[in-house]
Amino acid sequence: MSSAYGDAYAVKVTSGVLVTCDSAAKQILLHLDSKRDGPYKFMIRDIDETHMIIKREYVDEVRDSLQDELEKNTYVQDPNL
Amino acid sequence: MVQPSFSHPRSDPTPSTSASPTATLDTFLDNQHQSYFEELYRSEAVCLCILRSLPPVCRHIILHHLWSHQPLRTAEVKSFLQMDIKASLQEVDEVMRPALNRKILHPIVHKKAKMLYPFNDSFKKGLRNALTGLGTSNSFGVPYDREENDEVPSQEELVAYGEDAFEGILKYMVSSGLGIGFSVARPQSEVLELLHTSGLMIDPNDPTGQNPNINRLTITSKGFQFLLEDRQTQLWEILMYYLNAKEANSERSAEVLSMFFSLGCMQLGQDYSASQSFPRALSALNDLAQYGFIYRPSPDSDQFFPTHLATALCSGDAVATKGQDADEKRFLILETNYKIYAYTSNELEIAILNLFVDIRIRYPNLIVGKLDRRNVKSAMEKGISASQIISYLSSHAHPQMYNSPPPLLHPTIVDQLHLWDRERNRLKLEDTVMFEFFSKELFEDTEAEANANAALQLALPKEKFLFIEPQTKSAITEFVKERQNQLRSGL
Repeated sequence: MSSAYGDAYAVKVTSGVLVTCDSAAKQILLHLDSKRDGPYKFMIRDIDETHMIIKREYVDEVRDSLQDELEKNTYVQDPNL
Repeated sequence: MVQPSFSHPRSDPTPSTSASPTATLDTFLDNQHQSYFEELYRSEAVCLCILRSLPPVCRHIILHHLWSHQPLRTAEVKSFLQMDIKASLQEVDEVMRPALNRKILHPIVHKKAKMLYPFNDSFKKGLRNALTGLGTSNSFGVPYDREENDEVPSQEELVAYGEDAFEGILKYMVSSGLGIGFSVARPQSEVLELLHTSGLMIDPNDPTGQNPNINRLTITSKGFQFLLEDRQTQLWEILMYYLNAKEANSERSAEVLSMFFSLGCMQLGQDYSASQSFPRALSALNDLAQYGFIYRPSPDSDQFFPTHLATALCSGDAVATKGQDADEKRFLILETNYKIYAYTSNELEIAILNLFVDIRIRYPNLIVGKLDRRNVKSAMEKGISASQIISYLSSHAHPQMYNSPPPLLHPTIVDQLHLWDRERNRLKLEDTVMFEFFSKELFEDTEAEANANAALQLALPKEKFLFIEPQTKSAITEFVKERQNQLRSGL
């Protein structure tokens, strides 16, 4: 497949894991990614407000760290009330 | 804010919670071959039960035409349904589909856009016999020749026996998952094996699932979902697991299935002779005793009593079967502040509630608890979904709850449960291959191709991005290359 610049019919192929989420979660993911450096960045491609492509090896890590981040924002009612 | 759609057109929807109790049976029957039905329809009881399971219109048409010597014609169906005589064949087909699926009618193309629907001979004979009381297959059971001093349990005793036996199994399942033991008798090993092969329970120390220690089984998420189903659904599910296990051993299952239907046609409180009613399915009948479907005064006697679990199997109407224990099942009061009051002392119900309710107070006949995030989320981690919790809550709502204006459950709570569920899976992750296009034409062609092959995950026409299933990558690449060449050469 030709990828020469200027070829109108060129196609670029990327593989990874497609993440579909709401836009709030997407922003948290962007934030998490921005705190990482070099090879530890997990995002391959930012696609639109609710989609991104990430590296396959980081899938579990991303899921867990998003959950941790969301947990920080949860109000826990005093059980004695 | 853009809301993503989590419902992918291709991914098959999870079975809806409002499915009919016989959903598992229906899928099983839908996959059976003609010869299987021929074998089934030898029993009059099966014919009657299958007829009952059909939608009313179908049932009506079949009964209407049962005594006719001519095959049913499309025109007759149309006039019966007060359909336009020029209505397409498809509309007729849609109405008759359930009967065709059960191989009751065999469609034959008669003329253009006209069909003949002759009856399946065995079904016709079976149903006619069922209605007139003829036939020799004894499929409605042969009453046991009782002696003077044989014990005869009352209907209440039979109900209590069946209830005890089946709830015992459920209790064992739920207690294995909670780790808190209330003393439960361990079900027989055959029952445990079935629970294991059906995937409702697993041995956590045996990852391969090959040689489990059946004494150390714990419940799976599928098992938790099973617990929240209503009784009728549970019974049919267990029976179908049993049937599938039989099939896996390459045994003929038609005899056993027709026995289920026969049991469903029997009468509570009547005793039957096992050897005469089911001469070819005696061992299966013995197995069913372990689940409480039948009661045997002594293990080796020929006499057996079907319990309410068995006799209600084919009533077709789920509400009717709940009738006898409906009042006991309605014990929950749920307030808008998430407090739950459960007027019950049934250990099983309490254990199930304990799955997602933080129980604070426990009186002999009343449980007070609270639906809180921690407990609900831990339940969801076990695989229970918000809609299952909601359907459990609403099916067990106390009659008092109906006095307040609808909806039955306050929207705050329903919404909150859904929110907790959504919180859990905010990310949807799937392996993908992304194609970036510059040419709109090429993008559109590839999109159509991917769509046709069910390979498309997502298409963004504005950016000209396509996301396809990884395993179809080579095929799509081939297609793109070919198309590229065509486009470049100006075709």
